[in-house]
Amino acid sequence: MSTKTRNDALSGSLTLLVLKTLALGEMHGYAIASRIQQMSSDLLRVEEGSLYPALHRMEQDGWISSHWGLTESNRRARFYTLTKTGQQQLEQELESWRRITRGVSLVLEAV
Amino acid sequence: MGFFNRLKTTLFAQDEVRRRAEEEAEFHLEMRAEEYRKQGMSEAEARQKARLGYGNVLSQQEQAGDTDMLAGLEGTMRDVKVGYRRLRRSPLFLVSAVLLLAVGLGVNAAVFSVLDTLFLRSLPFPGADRLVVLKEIRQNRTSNSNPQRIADWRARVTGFEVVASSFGEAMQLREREGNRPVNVMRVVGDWIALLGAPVVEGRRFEASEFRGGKVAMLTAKSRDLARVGDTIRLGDSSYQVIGVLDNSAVLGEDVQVVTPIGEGLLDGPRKAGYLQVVARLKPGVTLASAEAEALSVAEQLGREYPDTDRGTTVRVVPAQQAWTEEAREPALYIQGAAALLLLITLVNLAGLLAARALERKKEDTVRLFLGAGRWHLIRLHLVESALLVGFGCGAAMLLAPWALALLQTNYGDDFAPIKTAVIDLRVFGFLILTGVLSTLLFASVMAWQSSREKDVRGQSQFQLRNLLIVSEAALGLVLLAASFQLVRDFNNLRFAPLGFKEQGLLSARAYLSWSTDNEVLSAAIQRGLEQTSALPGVSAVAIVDRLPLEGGSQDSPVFIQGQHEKTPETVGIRMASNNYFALMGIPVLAGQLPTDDSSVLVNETFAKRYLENNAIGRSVSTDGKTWKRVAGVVASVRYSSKDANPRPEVFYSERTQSWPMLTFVIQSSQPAAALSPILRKLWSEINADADFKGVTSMENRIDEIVVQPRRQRDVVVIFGVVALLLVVAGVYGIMASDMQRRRREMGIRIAIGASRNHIIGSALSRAGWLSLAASTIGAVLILVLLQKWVEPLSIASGIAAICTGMLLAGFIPAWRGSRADPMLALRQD
Repeated sequence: MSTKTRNDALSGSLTLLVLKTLALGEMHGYAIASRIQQMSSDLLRVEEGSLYPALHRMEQDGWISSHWGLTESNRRARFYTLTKTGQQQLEQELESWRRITRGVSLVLEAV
Repeated sequence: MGFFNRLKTTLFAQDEVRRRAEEEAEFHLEMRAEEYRKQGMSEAEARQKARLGYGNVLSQQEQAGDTDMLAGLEGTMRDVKVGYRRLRRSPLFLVSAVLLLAVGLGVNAAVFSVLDTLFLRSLPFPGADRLVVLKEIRQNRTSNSNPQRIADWRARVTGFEVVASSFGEAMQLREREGNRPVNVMRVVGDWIALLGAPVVEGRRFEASEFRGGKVAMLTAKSRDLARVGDTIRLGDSSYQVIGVLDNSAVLGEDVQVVTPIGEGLLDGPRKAGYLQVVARLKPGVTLASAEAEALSVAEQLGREYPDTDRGTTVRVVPAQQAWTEEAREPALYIQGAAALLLLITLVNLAGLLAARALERKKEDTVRLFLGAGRWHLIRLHLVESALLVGFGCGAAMLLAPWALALLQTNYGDDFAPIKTAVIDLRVFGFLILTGVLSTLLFASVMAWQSSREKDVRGQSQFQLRNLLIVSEAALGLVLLAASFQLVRDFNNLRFAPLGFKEQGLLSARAYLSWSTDNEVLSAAIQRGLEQTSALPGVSAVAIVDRLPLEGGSQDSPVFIQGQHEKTPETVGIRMASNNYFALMGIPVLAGQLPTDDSSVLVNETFAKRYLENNAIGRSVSTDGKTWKRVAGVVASVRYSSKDANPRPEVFYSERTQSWPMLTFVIQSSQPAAALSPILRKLWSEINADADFKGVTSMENRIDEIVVQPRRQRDVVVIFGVVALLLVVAGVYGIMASDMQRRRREMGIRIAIGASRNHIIGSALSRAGWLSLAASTIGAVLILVLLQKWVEPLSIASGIAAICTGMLLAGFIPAWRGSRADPMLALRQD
């Protein structure tokens, strides 16, 4: 199983945000984007163009799984769930995120 | 797990992934638009904003596809799809390009398969590299051998393992229902062991049978003629069938029966010459050492048989080379013409592709802007070219067997091995190789063209296409000039005054066996002449060995009384009855026709070259013993279609010359078709073994005789015409696309007062410059490649044709361009 520690902050953070969001429960792509925006008090806005490719990549890696389902408004949409592997990945990514932010803030505070 | 998922997606689920991405995008956009609508935006605004926020749908779908592991391969597949789509968008271009390639490549594949069979592939015999031909050379001319000398080569040259020979004979196979004409191969020595040809059934000839054995083998393709063990009758003799021989043993010739040579011929005179000496070198013996040994044997023979063998030298050459020598010249013509045609096709297509690349510049710029790399663009060109060439190769494979069949019907009779040529893997390999080279050519032209920076005046874009047009037209000129020359050559051969008349004459041929006794032959000739002239409607009958232009008679150096040496070159030793000359309208220039068998006629060439134009009363001899007085001089007529000028000839009476291949010249009020069955019956009574070839009009017979140069002309002329059409189409295509691109410029020029004539004039002057450049380069090419052969008049005709074609091709788009409505042209983007 590949557990890559990404230092690429941008793509890494999107993966982390998606994993974290999905930890709350099953939801579709649009909901993921909206939830991230909402949780970050509109500070973070997911670049929608890169969301779906990222979801697909994560599914290929086995971190999330997906199925077609119906929304509350009775619309067909693809729902994503965190898998067990995804759970582990989330923990690892969280750990690595913390490491990075700690490192960054140490540097910033030292100046 | 990720690995396998990606592999699975790559292999099976590309469409699925794409569909899913589309659906998700659609859902997402709708949700987002709804949100915007709730915020009070109009429907259209909401949709547009949603779309803006989402980004490029297409590129996302492509990204979705990019998540697989074989991104590179997938990329190429995508390029293939894009390339295919691009090609399909212009079906007319696709179809014409594929057709062009099919013709160019298909013809070349067929020609390659013929050349491969003749020259490249080794002969179909085990250890074929040790097969050699010993050429006897007398008076600087290769001459044929005879069984006696072959026996000497066999006995004395130790470097030869086997020495043998063979010749063909048309005979009649006697069957209960009547005679069946068959071609018999008579073998001298152990021909079968020499070639190593397999025996399919039964056994081969034993040493004791080489000398006149009454045994026969059938070739595998004719094994139905009889069963092994049967007795067959060929002419007057019976032969026991002892086996069946692989077809390769007869070198592709149309032969049904193989027998040892008859005893009479085996002991025939040493001066005879009708056999080719074929030998197999002992392992380890080189050509040079075998030749050196044969040379010293030739010297011994010259001392032992001064009359016949003195001055003989030899050359030992590989059999493959010797057997394909005659095919070399026609092959060169065809190969050259086919290669030129292919080059023109390729250059033509390159021009069209360059024009396409220009038209697509906008599309390519957008691609570059959207982030496609320059390499990616080049890859697209490469893929598109490869697709085109791939289709072309496929079509060429379909066309090639057809082209090969055409070559085989045209040349198979002259060069038997061609009949065995097939379109096989080697030809396919040749196609692939040519295809790869063409692809690279096309792709580089397109890439070069589309990578040029924008040039407002279009100047640099012109350069490449001008270059292409000029090279295409120059190559076309070479083919056209060659076509004109071949037409002229052929007309000189066939239609220029030939020195004899054909009208109102018929030709009938009866070929007797070479082993016919002289008395029998003489009697047959007399009976043939008498009985034919007695037929109703027949007013005159003459006999001759060979008709003019036919060649293939005997030649030898001759002695001239009062001179010590023989003539330095061989002269024609001909047979003709006295009335032949009057019937054919060949005048007697001096003296008179012979009145007895001790006199002969010579032609004017002979009289001038050897008898100081004072021939009457002089004596000539072939052996230095029996002398014949020259009674008269007849006008010279070209002996062979291969000769540019008549050669010196001596004509003997039909009573003193034994030549079994009889040609009768008949003046008759009955048509050929009516006489043919009567004469056929007559000849079956005169000589049961006579191979009667039928009666034809003299014109048709001479046409048959010159069929090979005619075919050569036809093939090259067809190529020349196709080349001209290609050049015209190429120039038109490129000029038209230029005009299209420059419509705006034309519109402006017309709007600010340029006259339409001026517009036409400027386009025509471009075509003029191009054709001038092409003519110059083409003429230089001709002078370098075909200097000796092509005459200035043919070059001039070629230039006239190509220039007319190019100017015409340039005029039409220019004229259309000049009609452009300036307002319409300007309003275009």
